[in-house]
Amino acid sequence: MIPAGEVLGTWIAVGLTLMMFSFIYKDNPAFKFGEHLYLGISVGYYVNIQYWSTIYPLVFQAMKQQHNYWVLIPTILGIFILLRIIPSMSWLSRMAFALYIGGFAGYSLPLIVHSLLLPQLSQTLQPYSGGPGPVINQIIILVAVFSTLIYFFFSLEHRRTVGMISRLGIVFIMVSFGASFGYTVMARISLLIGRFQYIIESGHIMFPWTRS
Amino acid sequence: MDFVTLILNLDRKIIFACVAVLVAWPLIWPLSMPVGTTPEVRSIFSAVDALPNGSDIMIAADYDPSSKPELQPFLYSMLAHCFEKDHKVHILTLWPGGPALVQQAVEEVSKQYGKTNGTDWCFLGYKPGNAAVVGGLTNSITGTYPTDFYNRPTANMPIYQRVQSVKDCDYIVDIAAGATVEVWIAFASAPENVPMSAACTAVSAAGYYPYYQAGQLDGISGGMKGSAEYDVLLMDKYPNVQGGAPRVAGNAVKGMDAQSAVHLFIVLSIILANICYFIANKRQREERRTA
Repeated sequence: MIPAGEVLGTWIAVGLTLMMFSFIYKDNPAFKFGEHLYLGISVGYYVNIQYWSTIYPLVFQAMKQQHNYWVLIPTILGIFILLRIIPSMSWLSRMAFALYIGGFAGYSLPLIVHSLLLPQLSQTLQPYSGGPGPVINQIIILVAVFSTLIYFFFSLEHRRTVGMISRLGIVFIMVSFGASFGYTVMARISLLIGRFQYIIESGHIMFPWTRS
Repeated sequence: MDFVTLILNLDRKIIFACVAVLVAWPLIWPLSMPVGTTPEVRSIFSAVDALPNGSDIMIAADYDPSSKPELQPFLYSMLAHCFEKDHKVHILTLWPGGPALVQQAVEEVSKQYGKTNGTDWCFLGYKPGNAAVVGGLTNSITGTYPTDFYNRPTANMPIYQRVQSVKDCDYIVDIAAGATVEVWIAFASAPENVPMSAACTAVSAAGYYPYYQAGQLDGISGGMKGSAEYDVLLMDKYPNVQGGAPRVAGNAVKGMDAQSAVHLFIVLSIILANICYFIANKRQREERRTA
């Protein structure tokens, strides 16, 4: 026996999915209702999650149970950020932003350079080895990186040799866009498949008497 | 109206209807088309499979319901694979919309494998601050997450008696819908020398290939196709994945028939539309010449 709540919930979920799909035909009140409901519920859900996972344990609980009043400093700085919405007090937000950006840049820059930039550079310029296949791949990567960088180098006029190299860069950029677009189409179809799967698999919950 | 004009002026609703039929048909009556595996996904599977039984795996499920069809099947398969190998699973999410999805998956799969919360796995929950959280995990897991998702103190858990930080984990897997893969590479995997793989949405897969090429990621699984490949590899190696329970593995494979059918339709539509476009152009040129 399927609980009545699950049957009702599934009817609502499938109904809302169909409301959103109705936009394919044209904009309509059912779509608008679904859209606004989604936005409202999302905001409520995220506010709730952020409060119970951040503000309550890290501020209220820390002060109440551990008597840690140092948390008031970041809390006040956080409130300063919200003051951007009051023009006369928006200058206070700059202090919080300056601290946040400065601290985070100092913390992350060495790690980003060490972990992302340098390994990528060394891989691009690594010695050729491993047979004809990997060597050809290495050459293609090197040519692609060089020509793409030239395309984005604007201190030289893109004519003659520089123009030729930058046009080659455009070809590599287009190939990259094509790959990304292909993947994007696949992703969107996957989302549609996910919804269809849900609707089809929900059939026996929505109509419990069809369950064998 | 001839065929060329008809195609070039086709109402887009007809294309939508065709796509809807091509998606629904294989889901109702599966075509059972084969799913080939790629080296990128095989690398993830081999890496997790090659770890000694009982290794510690950090799984970051950094996505929310909008990416569920692409990434949730991968999480199910990865959890099944880890529990099949008796690995200890440390799971968390950096996305506020993620906890409900992770809770559903980890509770369901761990129950099927008879694994105990706090001993075999721990769901640390959600914490905001991406890089700060990952950086914190490299110092102390229990310090960054004093309590788990169920509000129980982590410091007393058996799973954290020998694992203090990400450094003590044997592998990291980031299942990501956004840019958190770079955060995990920069703040945990590379500085602490912990091998890592990523499963991402198809949209972002192309952007992560440089990290795979550079060896910073052992493997990449892109979108539903990658998840289906992992399902296939898992079911091939462990045919009795708890009796092949449908929720544990195979969910992405079911969607691949529809994916292939729609891709074929899109490719044929592009070719047909281009041919019609060039024929129409040629006709216009000829009409202008005769006029």
